[in-house]
Order: sequence, then C-alpha cells, then structure tokens
Amino acid sequence: MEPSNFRRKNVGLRLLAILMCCGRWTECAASSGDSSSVQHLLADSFREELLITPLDTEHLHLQFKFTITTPRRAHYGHVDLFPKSVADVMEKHALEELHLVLTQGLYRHRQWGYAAEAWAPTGAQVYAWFSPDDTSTPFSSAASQHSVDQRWKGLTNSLAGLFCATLNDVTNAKSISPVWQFRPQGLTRAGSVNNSLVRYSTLPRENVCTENLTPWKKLLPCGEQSGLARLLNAIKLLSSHYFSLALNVRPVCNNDNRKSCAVEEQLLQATFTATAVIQPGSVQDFNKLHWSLKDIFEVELERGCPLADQSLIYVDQGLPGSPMQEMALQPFPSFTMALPENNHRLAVYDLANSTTFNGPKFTLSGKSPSTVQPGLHEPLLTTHRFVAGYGQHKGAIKCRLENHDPTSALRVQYLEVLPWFLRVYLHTLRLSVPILRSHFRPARDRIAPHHIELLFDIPSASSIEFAVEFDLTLLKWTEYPPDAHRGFDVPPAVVAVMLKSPEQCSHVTMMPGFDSCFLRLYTEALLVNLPTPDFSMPYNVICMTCTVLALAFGPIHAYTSKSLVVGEKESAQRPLVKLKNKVKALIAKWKARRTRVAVPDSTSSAEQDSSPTS
Amino acid sequence: MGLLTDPGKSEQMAKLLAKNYAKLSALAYIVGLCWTFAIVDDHFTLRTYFSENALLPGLVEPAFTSTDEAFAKMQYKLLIDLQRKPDSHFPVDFLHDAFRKLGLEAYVHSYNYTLPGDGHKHGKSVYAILRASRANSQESMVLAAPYRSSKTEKVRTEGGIALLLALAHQFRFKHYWAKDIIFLVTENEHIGAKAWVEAYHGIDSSVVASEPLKDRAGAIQAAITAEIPGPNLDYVDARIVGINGQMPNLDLLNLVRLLCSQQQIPLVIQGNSQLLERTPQNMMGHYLRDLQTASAMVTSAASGQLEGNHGFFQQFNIQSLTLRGLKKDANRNGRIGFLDLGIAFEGICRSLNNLLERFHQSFFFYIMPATQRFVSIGLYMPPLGILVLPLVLTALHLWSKGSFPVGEGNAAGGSSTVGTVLPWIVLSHAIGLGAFTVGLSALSTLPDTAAMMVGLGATLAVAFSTPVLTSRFLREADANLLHSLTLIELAVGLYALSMLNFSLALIVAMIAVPVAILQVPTNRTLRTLLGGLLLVTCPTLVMLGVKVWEGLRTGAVFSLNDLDKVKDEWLLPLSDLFMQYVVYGNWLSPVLCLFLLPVWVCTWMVYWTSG
Repeated sequence: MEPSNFRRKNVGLRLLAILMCCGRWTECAASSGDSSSVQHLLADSFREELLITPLDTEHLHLQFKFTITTPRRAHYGHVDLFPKSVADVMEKHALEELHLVLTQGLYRHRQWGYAAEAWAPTGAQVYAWFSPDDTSTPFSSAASQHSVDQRWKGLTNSLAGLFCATLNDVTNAKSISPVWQFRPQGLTRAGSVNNSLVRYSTLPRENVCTENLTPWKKLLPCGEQSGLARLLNAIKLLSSHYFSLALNVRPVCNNDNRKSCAVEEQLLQATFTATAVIQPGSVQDFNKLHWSLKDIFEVELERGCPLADQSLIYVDQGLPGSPMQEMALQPFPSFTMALPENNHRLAVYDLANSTTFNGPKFTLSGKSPSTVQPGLHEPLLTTHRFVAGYGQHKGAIKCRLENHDPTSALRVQYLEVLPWFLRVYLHTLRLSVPILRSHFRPARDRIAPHHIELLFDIPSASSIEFAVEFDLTLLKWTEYPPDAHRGFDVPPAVVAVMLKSPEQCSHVTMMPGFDSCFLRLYTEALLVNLPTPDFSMPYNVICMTCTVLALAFGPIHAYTSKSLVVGEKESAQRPLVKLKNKVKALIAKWKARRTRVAVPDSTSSAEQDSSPTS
Repeated sequence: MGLLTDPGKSEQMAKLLAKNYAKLSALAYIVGLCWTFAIVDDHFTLRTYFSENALLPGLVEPAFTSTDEAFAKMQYKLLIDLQRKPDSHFPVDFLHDAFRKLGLEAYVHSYNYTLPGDGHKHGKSVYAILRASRANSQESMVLAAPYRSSKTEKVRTEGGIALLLALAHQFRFKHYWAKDIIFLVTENEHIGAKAWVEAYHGIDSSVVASEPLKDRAGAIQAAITAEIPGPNLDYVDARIVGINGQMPNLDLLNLVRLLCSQQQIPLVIQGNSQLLERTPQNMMGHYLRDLQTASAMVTSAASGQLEGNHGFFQQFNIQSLTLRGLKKDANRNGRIGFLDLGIAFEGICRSLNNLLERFHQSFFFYIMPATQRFVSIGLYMPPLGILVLPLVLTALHLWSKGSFPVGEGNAAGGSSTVGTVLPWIVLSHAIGLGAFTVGLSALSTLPDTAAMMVGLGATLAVAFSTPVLTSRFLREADANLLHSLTLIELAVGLYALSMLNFSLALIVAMIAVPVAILQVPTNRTLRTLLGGLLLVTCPTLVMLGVKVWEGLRTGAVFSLNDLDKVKDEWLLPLSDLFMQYVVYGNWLSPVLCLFLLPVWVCTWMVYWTSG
C-alpha cells in the first residue's frame, strides 16, 4: 500500500517508473517471483495493425491500432505487456471502461468519408463507465465505494498526468451522464449499465502536441523502438490534416460470447489508436495518388514488434470496381481479403512473416492512376453545425443533418452538450421531423451543462435542421479564459447512427474484426462571443477608481465622522488637568521671565557647559 | 421646491443667463467650430500605432512569387475573355471550377431578392473555403471581390477576382494557416454581399431570400474586399467608412497601410489622391490637405452610405475594408502589378492569421486626416459638446423667461405650460412620421416617381402651412416655450446622435445650431433674412440640394428642358435615401424625417408666431 500511495501523489515519479520499465517489464516482473502474476504474464497478448485508406481527395487515411489484452482481475499487481499505469488507473478509480481521445483538426467526413473507430471531436474527449458499488462481483475494488463524481474527478486528474493534457479542466460543469449514447462497448454485467455510472466530457480547446504523443507511445509494449510504432513520427503526424490519439480500455471475453462469460475468460483490452489524414502527393500530382510509407514518415520499418502476436498492415482497396482496386502496391501483399460487413477488399501485409520483406527494410508504396472526383460520392450522412445570429445578446445553434440515402430513412441519436453560460430555451428548440424520444436537462450555473439528447428519423434523401436559441450572459470577471476575446468554445454535437445494410456500411472503412457498422459523427466545435469586458481596461479603471476613491474618501470620512463642536476650552477640561495646566502655565511664565532676565549671560552658560569637555 | 435649490438663486441665474446667454452662445459656437477645425491639425492628431501585438505585421518572407503572378495574369486574361463575350454574365461555373481545381471546397450560393419597385430578381455568389489543415474551422477570414458586368461604369474588378484565385493558388498546401480562408465572389453589388453575409449568419431579411449555405468556416475575424481592375495600377484607395459611419478597427487599417508601404504601394484614404503627392511644405497647404481628407471622411460617414461591400461585414461585427486599385491616368500604365498586390495581400492574410483574438484593441471611432494620423474619439467629442451648448443655453434662457418673467412683460395673458404647446409638438412629429411613411410606401411605386413627388410635396406643403394654424392659436408666450422645448429636443437628439454617428451629428450641429437659436428679430429686413435662412435649412430641401449637388459633381447632367427627366433625376436620389434604409438600414432618412423635420417645423411655427 505504501509505494502505491506514494506513486499516486507523485505523477512525475510514476512517469519515470513507466519510462524505466516500459518494454522491459518482462524482466521486472520475472524478478519479482510472484507465481500468480507469472501465470497472468503468459496470458497477455499484443497485436499491432495499420490500416491505410486512400481517400477521394488525394489524402491518405492512416490508422494505427495497438491492442493489448490481459486477464481481468481485481488487483493488477503485475502485468506483462499491458501498461501498468493504465491498469492502475482502471483499478484505482474502479472503472469498467475508459475512452479517451485527443484530436487535432476536424475530421471532414463530407470530403473524406467515414473511418471506423476514428470518431473523435476536436480537442479532448473522455468518457468512462464506473463499476457499481457492489462488493459481490469478483473484480470490484475498494475504490468503488467512492462516489462516481469523486472517481470521475480522480480519473480526469490521473489522465491529465498520464497524458500531459489539461484534462483536469474537466469538471462537473462540463460533464454529463449520457442517457442513450456512449453505451458500454465491452462486457457488461447486471447492474453495471446505469446512467449514473457513466460520465462524458469534452474539451474542444485542448491542443494536441508531441507532449501528448510521447507518453502515449511509451505505454506501448515496444515503445517506439520497433514495430509499427516506429512510424509514429511526431513532426509528420502533427503537420497532418487530422490527427487523433485514442486510448480505449474495455473488458472483453476470450470466447466471443458476450452473453455469458466465465470469470476466468474475461480479459481487459486496451486499444491504442492513432489516426492521421495526410496529403502525401506533391503539388503537381493532380488527380493522382502516389505514396510510400517512407516518404510519409521518413522512417523505415525493419520488423514488427517482437512482442506482438500479430503485426499487420492493411491497405483498403475499396469496393470491387472502384479505381482504388487498380492501385499498384509495392511489394506485393501477403494476401488479400474481403470484409464481410461492407465488401471492402483489403490487401494485407504480415510483418511477422519474413517473406513480406523484399529487402532488409520494409517500404510500402502505392500508386493509383486516378482518384475519384471529390464530392461525387457524398457520404451517407453529413452534418453541418453553426452559430446563427450576431451581436452579444442572443444567438442560435443550428445543425443541418442530411441523409443522402435515396431509399431508406436513418434513425439518428443526437446529443448536444451546451455550456451553462448559454441560456438555452427549450421552447425554441426546432426540429423539422418528429422527435421519437427526447431527454433535456437544463444547465445549472457553474454546476452542470445543458444536456439535450434526441432520437429521430431522417427521411431518405432529405435534409433536416435542428435549432435552438440561446441568450448570452455576462460572466464573473475571473471566469473569462485567457484571450477572452477569442470567444468561448461550444463542444461539438454527437450524431450516432447504426447502419443496417452492407450498402450503407460500404461508406465506412474498417479493419477486420470490427463487428458492427456503427457510425458516430462529431460536428464542428463552435465559437460564441460572450459580452466580454475590455481586459486592458480593468487595470486603468482600478488605478483610477482607487485614486478617486482615496481622494474622495478622506474628506467625506472627515465630514461624516467628525463633528465640529464649538466649545469653551476651560470648561471642557477636568479639574485635575485644569490644575496641571495652570501649574504648567505658571512655570512657563516664570521660565519666560527668567530667560528674559538671563538672556545676557546665556552665552556664558554655554561656555560653562562646553568647558568641561574641552 | 427642491431641498437643494434656492428659488432666489435660480432667479439670479435666470437674470445672469438673460444678460449673457447670447454672448455665451455665440462664444460657444465659435469656440466649438474653431476647435472642430483645429483638431485636424498635426499638433492635435496622433500618429497611428499598432495596439494588437499578435498581428506581427510584415515579419514573414513573402511566398507569393512570379509563378503566382503568372497564374493571376492567366486567370485575368480568361476573365477578360469571358467578359468580352456578347452574352457575358457572372461566370459562376468558371469560378467554381477554378477554385475546385485548386483543391478548395467551392460552393455556389443562390438567392432571390426583391428591391422596392424592381421586382423579383435572382443572383448567385461563389465562395470557396481553404481549410486550414491543422485548425478546426472555428475561425476564418474572408477575401472578397465583387463581380461587375461590363455595363457598369464603376471600377472594374476582374483583377481582384484573378488575385483571389492566385492567392488561393499560393495559400493551399501551406501548413501555417490557423484560420480558414474564405474566397468570395459576389454579383449585384451590395445585394450580393448582403445576401451572403446574412446567409452565413443564418439571418432572414425582408429584401433577400437565400438558400442556406452548404458549409461555413466558423466565426469570421476579418474581411478584405478587393476592387482591383487589373495590373498596372498607380495606387490603392482604402475605403473604410461603412454603413452609418461605422469604422473598422484602426489596427486593420494600420496593417493594410504597413503592408502596402512595404511593397511601395501608395495608399490613400477617402480617394483623396492629394495624399499621393509630396507633403506640402507650407503649413497652410499641409493643413488644408488634412482638412480635405478628414472632411471627406466625415461627409461620407454622415451620409451613412455604403462605399463598398465591406459595410455589410461591419454590420456583423467583422472588421473589414475595401481596397480599390486606381490609376492616375486611364491611358498610362502604372507600376503596381499582381506581384506587389499579391505580396501585400499575402502579408495581410498572414498577419490576420496570427490573431489570437478578435480585433478588440486600438480604436473603433476615429477620423483620419492622413493615412498615418488619426483623431480619436476622446479628441473629437469635446468640440461637438461645445458646439451644441448654445442650444442648451438658449433653451434654458427661454424656459426661465417663461417661468420668471424678466424685464419686458412677456407673460401677458397668463403663464404658458407644457400642455399648451404639446399639441404643436405632436403635430410636428406627426408631419415627420407622415413624410417617412410616404417616402417608404412610395418606394413600391418606383420607378414611377409620381407618388414620391406627390407624397413628399404634400407633406412639405403641410409642414410649410402649419403657421396658418399656429398664428391663430399659439400665443407668443407659448411660442417661447415651444422654442425652448424644440431646442432641448434638438440638443438631446444631437448628443444622442453623436454617440451613434458622430459625423452626422457634427454636420447637423454646424448647420442647425445657429439657425435654431436665433430669436425672431423685430427688424423687418432681419426677420425676412431669418425666414429665408429657415427655408434654406429645411431638412428635406437640404437633402434634395445635397443630392443634386452630388449629382452635378459626379457628372450626371441635369437637363431642365425635359420635365420627366428632371423628375426622375431629382427625385430618384431622394427615393434612394429611403431605399438605402430598406436595403441596408441607412439611418439618414429616419433621422431626417423623424427628428430633424419635426424640429424644423417647430422652429418654423415659432418664427411665424413671434416677432
């Protein structure tokens, strides 16, 4: 207990510990000699994958996915490949699931289409499912007795330290408990799916930087030493058009049976996902897509991570008949496969297989003769959200949702989390289609945001608009952020939809093993201008007012607190003082008379005084 | 009987006022006038400076090269070729494709608009969004150019459109953009810009009905409108005055000035080409030039008219200005080409890109006597205050004259109360409201100006004939009170107006104050003179006069022979004023009809009653 407490207090030391042990954990754990943990060590597994998808717009969509699993238990004393700090976070805050994503830029689904598991809003997003306070379950930890709010606060602070992000800004005033969205993605048990156990929050203003990428990479079994993680070149990734770092932790079952899973078959799975949209082409290459991993990342692969069970690279060649099928890949793929969910064809490279390497280094490159004209295939569902109106009094948030499917309607879950400083009026909520289910929880100043959740159908080939009006408020002057005149960020809305047919699903690019065509879109984050005081003025105003007040206060205080009394001098004095004064006056008079007499010989007395010293 | 007032003292004050108000008023007016003219002088103006440190102007190496210049020239040639075609129209497809080919998201925005008396019309705009690769589309800036058909006589704009394309060509693939850049080309002059800006903010207006925009790019931080005819220019004119005298942030103008001067592009303001020449060495010449520039700015702000499409952006709190490329001599080629302009525009965009916050520092209220000198609001407000002071002094004197009869027995026939003059005040305002309503409703009958003429003639006739009534029912003592109240209304109105549109308040004060305070003299000649003065300053007539003068100055010839033409040419400008109110909310016509005309009618009544 002692060391763990110590670690909790000192994030820096903990990071240092991760640094030292990451990648060499096998030795660290083996030297401990704990037989039970050795048994678990053997069961940890690690898989690394990279999915490359050429987009219509001469962009390349790259998704790195590192999956680590470990047997689920109540106390993660020792782990093998699974990151210890993540396990600690899960244990300490009694979490069922944890989903964190840090994103730079906006995923432009209208141009780029959809990518599975790449759903991320601008900035930071975190949501977590907490364990119920129920000691009967085998994995319950002591922390589950703390309130969910307490654990949520602890979790966001832990994550802030772990990923060097300002997630400690996540407060209850920015968090909600979604009613229908953000359901558990992994195993659930009776009583664990309850709204009171989930917290969701976004920080649209969070900037993603290398300082987030570095700790993220260090949690991987091979770090950035070998394997696909070597490709994660910070400069290249952060100058891309979209970059997103995610960590998803969830309980899964070893036997693919979600309904019932024996305790010993339950696993804890951590998925590290890095997604980037990169424009590899040079300026001259219009309508052509030539790329190679070496050019994109300026790093060459030597081998897969030796600790990985699987190291695979997939290249999405789209639907049969698409121009991407003609893409010339160099080297030739290990094998190709078709995804049953959406009929996409994937070219697969197995880095564990030495025949994949056509030399000492692996350099994958692709050339496609032409790309599809952008805008020709509008994705199934597009969204566009904006602030309507102007001025500092009121405004409206409008969101347009377009269903481009010519035949079938789409059932959509819509979640809007609006900050409390926008006074949202429910009676102004407009939606051009009937609302099937709705949940509205108004904000409480400085305590909770507005929470609007709707369920509705968008008819086929049509566009609908969601609109809600708000009033702007003047905040307390300490509540304005730095650069207050930039405006205030309004988090993006979340649109979730379950695609039914493979035709609809074919819009989505996905890795194998992803079991449903579930789509979650994030709209634009918005800027709202609140009435903002001129913050260059307070200084002047304070200075001037203080001076004026000081100048005014003196006389006013004097006039109000002092009374001018015209009294006789003598009568006001007490007899003893009177006597004393009389005596003093007498003495003074006598002295005065003496000095007048003694004036002529005052010089002689001075001489007398000075003579002894001389 | 207030606690703090001593009735004896007010009587003394009244006596003092009665004795000295005329001198004081005259002094205040003269001092105010002199001060107003003095603040333009170099000794009182400040040199412009950058308040917003984040702009970091002109610190980057320009990336706009001769390749981009060649691209601009090519696009310019294509546009001119399109223009020369017999059935030339707004090249929507050409622009849309051009932006698309550059890899930008290009969209067409179409709208319908209804101008009074002009029927329904259709228009289109093309806009393209350059997405800042690493940003999240929360902020953006706009580079706009209007498209003008070959029929108009205004400055050509093909150069501006070509420049926009060249800038898009240069800006794409750059990683440093933190704000999206919107390239916008509109047609139909003001209507096009209005339609797009309103659609961007999801606003519905009575004039324009437009389809929703397909995509946006967050909050617009700044907008630059380019009216560039082509290469080979001599100088650039920065148009800053927007609707109702609204100004962009001074930092934006500073930025434009600095980047133009780095490229040796001469920049003038208010089209005052004297600024291009060497600064006159003699003090008087120097002063006169500054005065001319400043007064050009004041008159254009007072007119409330739109000088370019930037005015619509300003209405939505987006700092914006119009840069108009001009030639000194139409037949000679200037030395400024696309390269210089491109580098300057690139610099402006990259500086705006550095902004962390919206423009909020520096000045929003100022007058520019020269490109590098400005008079801030703190300097120009006191003279106006003093200029309006005579109204207050005279009003006080007249009020006290009614309450405490001093000297001559004016109060014969009982004291007058506010109640006795209220009907006349109401009547005068009713006339004003009538004029305004007539003006607005006559718009629907355009282009036939008969309704406008008859309507305005009728209201003017009523206004002029009010003395027939007043001379019978209004006593002279009441006239004094009416005069006093009128002056108070004028003073309060002017002070309020000075907060909204300083320039308009200044010009009205200069004209109205001396006329309003004059009391009707007993001397017959003087009396007739004042009557004439009053007639001349009737707001409607003044406006008509200004419009006619404007027409004469700009070269629209008025032919007196053709009566129909006279009617059209003289009245269309006046109806234009109401049109401006309807289309973009120019306050001049409501101020004229609802404030100045009633005040004038009251003064007119006073003139005919007293003396």
